[in-house]
Amino acid sequence: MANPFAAGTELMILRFLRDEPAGMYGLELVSASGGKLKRGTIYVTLGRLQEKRFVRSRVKRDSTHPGLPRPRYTVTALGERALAAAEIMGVQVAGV
Amino acid sequence: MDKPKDHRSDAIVQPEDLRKIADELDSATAALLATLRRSEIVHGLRVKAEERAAPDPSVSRSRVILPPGSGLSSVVRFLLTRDAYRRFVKPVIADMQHEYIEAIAAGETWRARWIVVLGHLHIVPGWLYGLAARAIKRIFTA
Repeated sequence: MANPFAAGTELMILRFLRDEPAGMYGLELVSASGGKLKRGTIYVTLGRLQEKRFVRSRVKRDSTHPGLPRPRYTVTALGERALAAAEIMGVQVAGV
Repeated sequence: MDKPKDHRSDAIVQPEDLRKIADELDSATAALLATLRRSEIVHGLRVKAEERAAPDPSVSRSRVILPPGSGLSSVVRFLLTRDAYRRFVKPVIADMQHEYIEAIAAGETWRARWIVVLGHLHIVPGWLYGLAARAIKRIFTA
């Protein structure tokens, strides 16, 4: 079973996603973090958050874009609750 | 009662008739060759052969160009589980393709090439994570 707790970078991602109800792309999260999230590992972290069901991804095919469709990530209700609990407990997220 | 007349012998072409037809064809060909000069015939045949060999200029040569990372995507898909590929590698390739196409559209060819190089490097962590996850899954399901 996946670890039900969120780590520092995971909380950071959850906070960004909570502030953006429409969802964000992986690269948008990287640029929003100001270099704290890395391009190489962002999807590993997002994958872990998906396993914990804190985040869901949606893929919308864009007919004007010829490559693979990019997933857009949104926070789930469970993710919001986990983030709220972490904030109540005073878990600090570095730099956010 | 009279026997019905056999018409089969009328239907068969006689060798003399065939010879006559062949002679007529020969004389017709000879007459045609006489009217056309030999060089004209050779020239006509050469033009026909060139037309057949050369592509139609109205149809431009086309080549299918796949977005960058397509080949790598197939290799990684073979090595990882479907879920690991979908979660860790596919989004990186999608980002790379998106940025590459934006750079090409902006006319920044060198930046586009650099994006492809970096994109291939950014796949490595997700790939390794996926391989590790697959190995662990195999150990625990064996």
